[in-house]
Parts: sequence; C-alpha cells; structure tokens
Amino acid sequence: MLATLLGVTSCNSCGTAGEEDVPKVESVILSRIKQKADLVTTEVKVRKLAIYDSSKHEKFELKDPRTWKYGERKCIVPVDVTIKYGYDLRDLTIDDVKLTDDSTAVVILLPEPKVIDSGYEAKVEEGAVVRMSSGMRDKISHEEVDQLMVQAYKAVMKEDFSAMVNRDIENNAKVVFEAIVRGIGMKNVEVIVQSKSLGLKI
Amino acid sequence: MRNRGWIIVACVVVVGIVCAMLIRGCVQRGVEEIPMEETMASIEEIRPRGEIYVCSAMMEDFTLQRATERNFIMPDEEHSCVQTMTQKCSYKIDLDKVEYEAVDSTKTIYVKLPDVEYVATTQSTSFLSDDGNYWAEHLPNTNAMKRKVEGQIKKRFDTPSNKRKAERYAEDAISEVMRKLGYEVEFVRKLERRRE
Repeated sequence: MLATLLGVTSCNSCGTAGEEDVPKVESVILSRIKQKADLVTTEVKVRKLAIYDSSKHEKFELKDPRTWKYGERKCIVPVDVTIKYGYDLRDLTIDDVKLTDDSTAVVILLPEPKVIDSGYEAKVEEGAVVRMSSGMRDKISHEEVDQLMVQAYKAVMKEDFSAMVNRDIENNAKVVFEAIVRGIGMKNVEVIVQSKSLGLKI
Repeated sequence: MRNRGWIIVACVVVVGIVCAMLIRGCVQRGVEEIPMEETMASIEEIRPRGEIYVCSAMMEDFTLQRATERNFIMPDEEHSCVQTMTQKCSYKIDLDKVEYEAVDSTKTIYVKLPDVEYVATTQSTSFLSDDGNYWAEHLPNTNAMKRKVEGQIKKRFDTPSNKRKAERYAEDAISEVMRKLGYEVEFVRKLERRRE
C-alpha cells in the first residue's frame, strides 16, 4: 500500500518534457496556390476575451453522475485578431478608371471592399492567460486554451466590422491610388474614388 | 451463514459501482468542446496599408513532443503531445517600395518591383495530448511548439519556385492596374540603368 502510494505521489516533477526526433512529415497543402491581385488598404486589429466558466454551463442533477463534479474551472484568454480589408483588383474593369475630359482628375470606381486576409496570434504569453480550477477538477489544459482561441477567432470573423471601417477602407484606397498616380508622374491630377455600387458621380 | 456471505459480496459490488460512478462523475477528463462566454470584441487599431496580395494557399502541419515521467517505485510513464496548426500562406508586395518611371510619348511605364514578401496568418491551432493535466503542469505554454510548426510551414511554402511564381503574379497584378490607367508596362531590375 505504502509502495503504491509512494509510486503514485512520488515525483510528478521528476518528469522531463523533451522533444524527440520524429520521422519527417511534410506540411499538408490544403489548397493549391491561388493567383490573386488583392489590394489591401486597411488593417484592423481586434481584441476579444475568450472566457470559459464551467459554473455557468454545468448544473447538478441527482440522477446524472456526470454532473456530480466537485469544483469549478475558469479560463480567460485574450485573442488578438488581425483583419486586412481591401479590393480585388480583378473586379476593377477598364471602364472603372476614367480620366476627366480636362485631364485634371482620375475617377476610380471601386468594387465592394472585402476581407483579403485574416488570422489570430496563436502564441500567447503565459502571464496573459488566466487558468483556475478548484476541487477535484482537472487543470485548464493547452487543448482547451487552443479551443477557446479558435472559437474567439471564429466569433470575431462572424461579426461584420467592414461596415464600421468602410470609410477608412475607401479613404486609404484613395491614398494608395494617389501614390501610384503621383509615382507615374501625373503630378497635378486629382484622384477621386467612388463606390461602384453608387455609380459615377463627378 | 452462506446467505450472509452472498449479502456481503453483493454489498461490496454495489458500493464499488457507486464509488466508480462518483469518481467518474467528479473527475472530469477528456477534451470535450468547451463553451465560450459571449463577450464584446473591441477594435484596438485601424492602420492604413498599401500592399498587394498576389497568391495564397492553406497549409497545415504539426510537431510532436514526448516526455518521460519518472516515478520512484512505479514504472516510468511516457507522455506525448501534438501541436497542429493551419495557416494561410501568402506572398505580397509593398506598394511603397514599387518604383515607376513613365514615358508619356510611348505611354509606357517602367516598373521596378520590390521582392515579394512571405506572410502567414494562423487560422486554427489544436493541441492534443495523452494527459492534459501532465502537460498543463510540465509545459508552461505551447509557444515554442507553435513557432516550430510555423517554421515548418514557412519552409514548405516559401520555396524559390513558389517565390518565382509569386513574382510573375506580382507583375500580372501591377500590369493590370497600369493598363487600366492607360499605360503599357515593362519590368526592369534597375531604373537608373535604363535612364543611362
């Protein structure tokens, strides 16, 4: 009995977590390389707190032993999401770029802005993650932290921020096109950007 | 006397079953999907950008880590965990670094493109292990494993052949814009040399 107890409680801290050589497995390519011509004009950084609180979801029921869990588990993980908005340049036709008759302005009709790229920072400093477990409950595992982060990222992407930053996306597009127009030597030409859906208004 | 013996055995069995149910109910194991609370997302920063994404692909990879838990009397226990990651890998060009020189007489524009840049954004990560409690205690965080997977994905995607492909796509993208502005494009390595 003593031997068993000693064996079990002997030394968890004696364990050494180390990497081992694993047979080389190459990355799985989930999709072919797709050619794009996406102009990014605006980058938005969004922060969401991913919170898990077992006490809000688990209810004790005398008939169900699975609910006889003594203790609680809580976890808070901050998730930083970056979303890049812009335009697919292939949606821009030759008719969408017009030089005014007096050659003083270039009018560019832009398609609807869209999300060009997005992702979240998967590496989080240990101090930034709050993990709590009491009673007989398991510790908050790395599995669960990763799950929470993915859920938070998906939740952010479901929210439509484009409406909130639409103005910035369009204004920044104007700055980008102005830089191109100046770059090619059209110094005194004004750049006007308009939404294609609103039609040409000069 | 014989009946009494059977009653004791039955009692032991019943107590055993109840204890097993209690232990199973009280101790939570496994990695079920855990529910996330509803929280507000806040916009931290809005930054202007000027870059063109010329191609992208989704990639996935993993890394494995093993550890031995040494016990004084009980046999040593082997533990292992796997970190997987899915990333969207892309190449982009920074428009601030593109150099132009227009020749109005021929409606031609000479363009010097900067090098295409590799960028990757994480779409999902997943940590799998044989013993969540052990790894929660002995592995402070998974950042090193995630960095390793990122490196593996970059090594696979960011190859000279993919880079060449991206450079071609970058030329296509810039030509597309310039044609719409009414110019034909010629790509050059150095604008200065062309001027001479």
